Amino acid sequence: MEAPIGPRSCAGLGYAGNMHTGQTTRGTLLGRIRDGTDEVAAWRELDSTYREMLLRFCRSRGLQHADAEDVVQQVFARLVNGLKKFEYDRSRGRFRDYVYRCVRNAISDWVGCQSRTVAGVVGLCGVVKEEQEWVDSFHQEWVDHHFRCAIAEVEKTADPQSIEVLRATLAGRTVKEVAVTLGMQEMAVYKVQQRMRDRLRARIAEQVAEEDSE
Amino acid sequence: MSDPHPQPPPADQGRGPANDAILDERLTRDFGFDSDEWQARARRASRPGVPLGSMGQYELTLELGRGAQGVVYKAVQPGTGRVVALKRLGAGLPPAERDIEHMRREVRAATRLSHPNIVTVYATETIDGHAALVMEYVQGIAIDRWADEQRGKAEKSRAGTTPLLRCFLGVCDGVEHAHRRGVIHRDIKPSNVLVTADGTPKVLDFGIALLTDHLKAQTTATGFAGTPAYAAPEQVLGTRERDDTRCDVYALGAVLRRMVTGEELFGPGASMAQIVDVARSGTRIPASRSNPLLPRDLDWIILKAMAPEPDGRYQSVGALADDVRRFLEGRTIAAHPPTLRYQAGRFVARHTIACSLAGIAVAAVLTLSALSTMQAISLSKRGEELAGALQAERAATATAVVARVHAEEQQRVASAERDRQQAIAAYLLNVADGVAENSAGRLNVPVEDLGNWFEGAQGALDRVEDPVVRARLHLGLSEMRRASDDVKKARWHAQQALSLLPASGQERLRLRALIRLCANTNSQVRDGEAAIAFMREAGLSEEPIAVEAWRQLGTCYQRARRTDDALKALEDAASVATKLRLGKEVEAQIVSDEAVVLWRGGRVDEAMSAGERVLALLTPEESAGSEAARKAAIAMGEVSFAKGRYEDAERYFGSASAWSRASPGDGHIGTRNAMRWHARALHELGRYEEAAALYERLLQLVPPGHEAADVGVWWVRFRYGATLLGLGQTQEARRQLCMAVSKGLDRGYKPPSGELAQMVDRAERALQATNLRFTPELKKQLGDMDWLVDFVGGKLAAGAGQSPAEEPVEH
Repeated sequence: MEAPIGPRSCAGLGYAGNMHTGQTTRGTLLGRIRDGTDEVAAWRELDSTYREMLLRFCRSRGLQHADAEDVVQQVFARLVNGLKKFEYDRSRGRFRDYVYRCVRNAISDWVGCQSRTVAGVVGLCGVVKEEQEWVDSFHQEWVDHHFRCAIAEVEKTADPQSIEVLRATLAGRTVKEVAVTLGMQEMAVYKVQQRMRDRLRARIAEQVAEEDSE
Repeated sequence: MSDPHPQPPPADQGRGPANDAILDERLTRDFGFDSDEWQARARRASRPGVPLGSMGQYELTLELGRGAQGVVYKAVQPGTGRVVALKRLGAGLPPAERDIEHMRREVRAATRLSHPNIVTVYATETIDGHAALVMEYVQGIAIDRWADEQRGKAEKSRAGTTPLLRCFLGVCDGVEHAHRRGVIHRDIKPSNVLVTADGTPKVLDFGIALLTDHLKAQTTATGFAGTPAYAAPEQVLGTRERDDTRCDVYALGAVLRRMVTGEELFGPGASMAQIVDVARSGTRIPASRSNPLLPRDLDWIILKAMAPEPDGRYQSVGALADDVRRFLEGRTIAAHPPTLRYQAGRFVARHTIACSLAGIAVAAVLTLSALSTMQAISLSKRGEELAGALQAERAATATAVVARVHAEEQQRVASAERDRQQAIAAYLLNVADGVAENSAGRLNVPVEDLGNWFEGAQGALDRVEDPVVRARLHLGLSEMRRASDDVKKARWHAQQALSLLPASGQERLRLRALIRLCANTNSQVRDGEAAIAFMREAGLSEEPIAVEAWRQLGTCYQRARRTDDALKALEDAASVATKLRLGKEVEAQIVSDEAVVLWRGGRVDEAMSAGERVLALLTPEESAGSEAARKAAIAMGEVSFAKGRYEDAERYFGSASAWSRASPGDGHIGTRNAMRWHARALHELGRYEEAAALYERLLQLVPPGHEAADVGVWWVRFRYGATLLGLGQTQEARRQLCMAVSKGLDRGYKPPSGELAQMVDRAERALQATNLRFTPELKKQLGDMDWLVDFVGGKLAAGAGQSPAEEPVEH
């Protein structure tokens, strides 16, 4: 059973998360897909890493949930096939740009398919908008995606009080409110927030670097 | 519509490896880490997702699952507030109009299914161009997860597999219900079976596999949309044009395997190529390899359900469920080769307490050789008592003590011997009962295995003294002999049983023996009438066995060509069956007898309509394994054959043969009869190869050393010879024809019966038709049939003007 789209655990996340050692244990996703040894695992990894981001992006483009699911399946198929066929070239753009192109094309194809076969699909007029808006929206989803993954990862190792502070902050509470609720000094809350910020930043740096190494 | 070169986001035009300065700048810019802006961005990222929205008229509340077939939501119908499960079937173009009608028909059939173990489909709709099913919402978990939990509990409570199997039987009931209504599932797997909190299994997605196959075929290269670990080999390989119910039997076997072992047949890394290889090679891995604690019988059940060839599987879900029930009751299962040792094991398992007592008794008997020692010990124990008595000069008491000790010892010995006999008898009666079941068509025992049973029961007869037990064993043996078509011995055993039974008491057994006696005679009306007279005298007229007695009398009359009397007897059988409400199988049996009587009495059209009544009474699934359906189909086939309508005949005989081969199996006399007729009809249609294959199988079925006793074998060889001539295989045809004649004469029918003379005559004409010449090579081939070579050769030579050999056959 799955919940509707929303913040969820990034357990099983594709990012290896050990950049501090200067190594990655998994090798690049790309490398593994290309050598063809572990396609199913690669697919799963794509799914656990990018699924929610892509679903949210599709929904922001006006697709219904079920259609968004279909499109995301298509995107993964395109990614795996494209990576195999060396469509993706790191010297021509980053991995996330490639993902963007795949999802953009998948949505376009889906719109075309729907308008050919289904008369009068409601809400499609909202799908095709200005290209720049698409790009911005995707970028926003990308940022959100890294934040969500980093928060999930950081929460795994942080102490309970730090987690409480982080959650209260993300719920929109002021420092003062957090301090009162958790019975802490305001200064202490600030310090925890800074520590959490640094850890999130470090974690996101790892994730982005890893993504760029694809 | 794809745009091969959409503009990448401008923010991403910088690239490159993780250069610290660039990365730093990007993180600052994109994630707002240079100020408290990061908090706002992280907050945005953590917001709940967009609501699921609606689909058609339904408000989606939760995604329940997603797979190759599509997405399932929990949804609310706004007008009624009804909570439903809404399944939107997979992506792709809607199927073409010409394909869709077949699918619609099946989906419509599925929506009419109503059973506690099936998730009800309320409606099918098209929403935004996608097929969608509106179904009953069931709160439950997939049966594999449920089974894992149960196994965890069972380890603590030592409940074993029983709760799992009870739940599995519920699944079978649901699937069987659908099959009866013509709906095949085609994609049974754990995720399609939900188990509710009270342990009730509910099967999902009946009838939609066709639809999803179509959709999937558009998106996959193979067009195979099932779940490999649960799909039957013929589905994976696409070797059958149409799926039949047996692919569901396979899938149920795979589900049972998953439930009891906790392991998937194929690991997550298995490629399609590996799966296809396994399907092709028919490799089967016993479930006990994954769970060594699994009882062997369950292994057999799973292996049979998952047999690579559909013909090797249980032929219906009902048969699979019956075997699981038998297993739960500790009875012999059909899937297991019925060796004597196995039977004994099952018997002991069922009667643990009785057997342990018997075991103790037997052990006591085994030590009887040391009885004198025991007595000595016993006496010495009482010695003190004796000494005390003597000491007190109570001589009379002392004598009494000695007498009591002796009496006690004797009683102990007698009781131990009685227990021993009862234990042996009970075991063998269990064997005999098993065979009786076989003869009733409920056990699928190959005829070769009957040898073991004969041996066990015969051996037992030498050791058991109780006449009633001996009589029951004889009755079991009579059934065995009948099932393997040894009429004479069957009759002999029935006579023995009768002679052993006491004059009073045991009336039912006596009646059974009387019925068995006339079942094996050719035309003894008086035997049938004697059975009925006894039945009335013993007050058994209103019991189920009365139906058997009346049916038997009907058969006796029919053999004596007294058609009206036979029909009257069958009417009496029917009235008892109706009064006792014995069910439609019994009714079908009586009507099938009627069909045979009418056909033999020359009332052809009435026979056909009686046959049709039988087939109308039974569903196709019920016909498999039904003696009544087989008899009716054979009678209808014979009518068609006599009228020269060979195609109809072939169809009827083919059905009879297929049903009967499914159960009670090839070895049964009824099956062999059906196969003989089927082969004959095929021969008439010029389908010699198919006919030859059936004849070969029939000959294989004759147990070694049994041929001489079996008139049917000669006929098979004759027919086979004729078919081989049709195929142009004259050499083998001659061999079969010669063997037929040889076996006929070898049985000591001298002077031969009219039938034999006819056979010999036909064989000769056939041989002449092939221009048979007894060349030295052929003589060599025929080997031990020198006399025949001389005989037939002599006749042929006489025809050619040479000196004739002595004529041994009168025409």
